[in-house]
Amino acid sequence: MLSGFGGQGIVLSGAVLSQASVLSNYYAAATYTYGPEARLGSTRSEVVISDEEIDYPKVINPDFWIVLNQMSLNTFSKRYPLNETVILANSSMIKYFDPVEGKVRSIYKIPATDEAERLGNRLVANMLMLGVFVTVTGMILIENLKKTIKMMVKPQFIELNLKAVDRGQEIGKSILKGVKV
Amino acid sequence: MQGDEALVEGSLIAGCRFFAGYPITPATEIAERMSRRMPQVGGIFMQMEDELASIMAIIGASWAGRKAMTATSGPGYSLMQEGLGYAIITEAPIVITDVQRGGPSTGLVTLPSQGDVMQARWGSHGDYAMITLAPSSAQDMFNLTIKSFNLAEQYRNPVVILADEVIAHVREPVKIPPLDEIEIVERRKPDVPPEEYIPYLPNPSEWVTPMPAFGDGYNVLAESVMHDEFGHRIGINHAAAERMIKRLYYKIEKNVEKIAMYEKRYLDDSDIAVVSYGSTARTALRAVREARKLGIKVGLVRLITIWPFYDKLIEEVASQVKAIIVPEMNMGKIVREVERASRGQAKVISVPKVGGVLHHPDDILSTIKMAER
Repeated sequence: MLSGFGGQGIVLSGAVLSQASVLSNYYAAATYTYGPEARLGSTRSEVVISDEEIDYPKVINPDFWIVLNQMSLNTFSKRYPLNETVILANSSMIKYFDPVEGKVRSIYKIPATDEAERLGNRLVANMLMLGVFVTVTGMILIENLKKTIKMMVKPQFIELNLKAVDRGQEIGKSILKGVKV
Repeated sequence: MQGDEALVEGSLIAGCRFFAGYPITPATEIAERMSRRMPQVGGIFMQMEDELASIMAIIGASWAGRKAMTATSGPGYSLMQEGLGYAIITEAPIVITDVQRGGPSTGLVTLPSQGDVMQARWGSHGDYAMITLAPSSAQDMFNLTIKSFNLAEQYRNPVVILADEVIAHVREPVKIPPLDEIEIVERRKPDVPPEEYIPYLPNPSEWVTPMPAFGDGYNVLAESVMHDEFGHRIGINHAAAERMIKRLYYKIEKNVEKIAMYEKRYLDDSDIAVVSYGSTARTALRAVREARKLGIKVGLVRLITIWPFYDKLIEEVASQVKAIIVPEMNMGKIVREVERASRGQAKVISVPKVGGVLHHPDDILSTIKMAER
């Protein structure tokens, strides 16, 4: 599950993740929930990745939750059973973890927006998080993620997005080594 | 591929070469992709001023000999009802996609619903019959769009693809088979010279007449006033009017066995059936699988063709099971048809869902457990 507000690229990153999963020989179904607003409304992508054909296309018990803002952390922590969930949280925009602290499998706090800003654009926090996710889970080849980005992202932003994935991969590797991010 | 995109690719393979529409969430991606793809295949894309004009434009294109389509959501589909009647009485083959969102009115702009399922049957005034197909996946958006064009041509009637927000936006794998394996129905043109052609008089063994295009040299009146077999206004001629209305109705309803598509899962040993359609059928399948793990003998009937409603299918299922559960993303609509068609042989239970969200599988599972007791 991916959540944030409109403008953070939640829909695009859900689409990219599902496409990269298909390239990695999984079945995948991505669905989206957003409001009529162009910016700042609550946005969610649900991506089901499976070895088998997917019936119900929505998330029931999230294995992973990439959460990019405080509001969606507060909202969706009440709606889903999270005791088995690994959270990748954007600590640049989430300061209060009370709704999930101690109630989930684990939380990784990643200053994704700050990191993205250092790369030149805060909007690529989404792809940075996908880089972390792909590295930490090992389910999808990072090459497939990059290939998908080249297919789906506007040409002028491809390089920036790939840089974000690389930075995400570095962060993911330190998480795997147990280094504090 | 996204459901909306799969629909566009399906329509192009079916031979659609004219699209007129007005963008509306959650059908906007259809117009967007059509605007790019149509010029590439030598077709025409027109952004219209509204949905009233959109449907009339595709009827015109259809009469000019093209396979034509429009796509909208509930508010736009409401506006199209008058034009829809015009397509029915002039027997213009067209395909309309209604990607359902929550209503009434502007309603839940970005959220799914199955609230238009009765409108798809009865939305325009007067007596007529409709063909309506309900896709459940991006793959269905591709397959059923081709099927819809085929049915529209075969029966000279509008066909509605009744999708919903989930299926329109779902991004999942779509297999496109080799083109020579796809059945495409082309329009049947008159095989008699213009002076012998009677535009609305079918052969005695058929319900549908061949259709020339404007400019083919045949005299054709596309008349919305009740007309006779020649297309002439009939004034007060009860018998001719009755013949016309019954033919428009029976050409669909008498062919229900040929038109009806459905899928049965786990039904053979079942004493409970879930009857569902569209995106809800996927939730229902999940619930059926969960129930089977608990040892409950329950199966699924997925209605692919919603209209004409296939009474015989439901009647047969009802004679086999003790209960039929009908989950729908509305206050309970097709459940009435199921109840009627099951003729009291099984208990029929509605599981409505409104508010712009799919059922949770547990909503259906708990009803299955209740029905088993």
